[in-house]
Amino acid sequence: MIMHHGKLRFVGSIDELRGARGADSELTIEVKADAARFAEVLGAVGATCKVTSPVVVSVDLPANATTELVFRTAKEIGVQVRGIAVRRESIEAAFLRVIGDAA
Amino acid sequence: MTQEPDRPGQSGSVGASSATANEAGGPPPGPSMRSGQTSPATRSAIGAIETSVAPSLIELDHLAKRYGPITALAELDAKIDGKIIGLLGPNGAGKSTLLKCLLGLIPHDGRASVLGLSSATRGAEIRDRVGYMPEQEAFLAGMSAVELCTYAGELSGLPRTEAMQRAHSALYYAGLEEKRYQAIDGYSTGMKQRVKLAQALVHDPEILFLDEPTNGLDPRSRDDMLELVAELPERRGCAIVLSTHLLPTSSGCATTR
Repeated sequence: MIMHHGKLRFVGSIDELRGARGADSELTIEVKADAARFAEVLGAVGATCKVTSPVVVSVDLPANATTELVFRTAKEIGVQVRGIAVRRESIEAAFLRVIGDAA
Repeated sequence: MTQEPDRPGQSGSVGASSATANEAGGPPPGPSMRSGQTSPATRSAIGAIETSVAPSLIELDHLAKRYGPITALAELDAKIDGKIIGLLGPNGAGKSTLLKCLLGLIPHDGRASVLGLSSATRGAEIRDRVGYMPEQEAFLAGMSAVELCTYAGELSGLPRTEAMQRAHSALYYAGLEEKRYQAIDGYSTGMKQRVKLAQALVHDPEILFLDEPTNGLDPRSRDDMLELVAELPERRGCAIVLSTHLLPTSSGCATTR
């Protein structure tokens, strides 16, 4: 449980706290190469992307999209996806998010 | 032969009798149920009468607490279950106020219940079944740890002899067996925290409310305390509500088990 200013801000497990942002649509994707171009193309179809290294892209999928969009886009532009994972917040970040709007 | 009291890092083993153990400075026995204490079956029956369905450990229904113009708790609603429950928030969030409301120590608006018992009307019964480690020091000057824990046991309704046996057992669990006859005034902060934990355990509670148990502790003592706390559900069979403003304390304990 997380309290702030006399209110219960969150009730649930630590996993739920870290995944409470609708995490299935927030991904970290590792590609073989050319992460920047992959991010550009994904961005053009509505995803919010941040290139964190030459081979890693942080992706927020658009509403109602699934990982199918990632694989289809990768296939279309010939980028090899080597890893895909749901992005999770640190506990610290999740805590600050929960209390942040009232801090 | 009696069962040796439970202690972190040790598997249960057979020890000496009560008198022999105490005379030798060894571990005392830990009775499994005190005189007059309700059995699990009776507790279940009481719970059934109170709510007709199995109650959550803690239920809040529009729970509110105001101090004049200050709102300490604002219409809280929740049903909470679990073995180790972290209550996390910055200073002034209302954590200690919530615990005191749940224990029936301060009046409040709305409804709150612990183990199916109303905090407003059955506070004494709740405190019989819940151990409370307060944030502040709550020691009586000149008392030793054994005397304090025995006194706490007697306040919970235990006969003196049984309270003393349980005090030894709880202090052994808390790792204070060698210092238990010394006056608490001379204890370090870490030892005082352990005494507070022991006095909360002395009446074999079903739930333990720990209010900032790592306050004032250095990193190593903090880790020791968290290890002690994290093992309580398994070793003592009680659930934990751990209130803290320190994120590592809450997450560290919750992820230990």
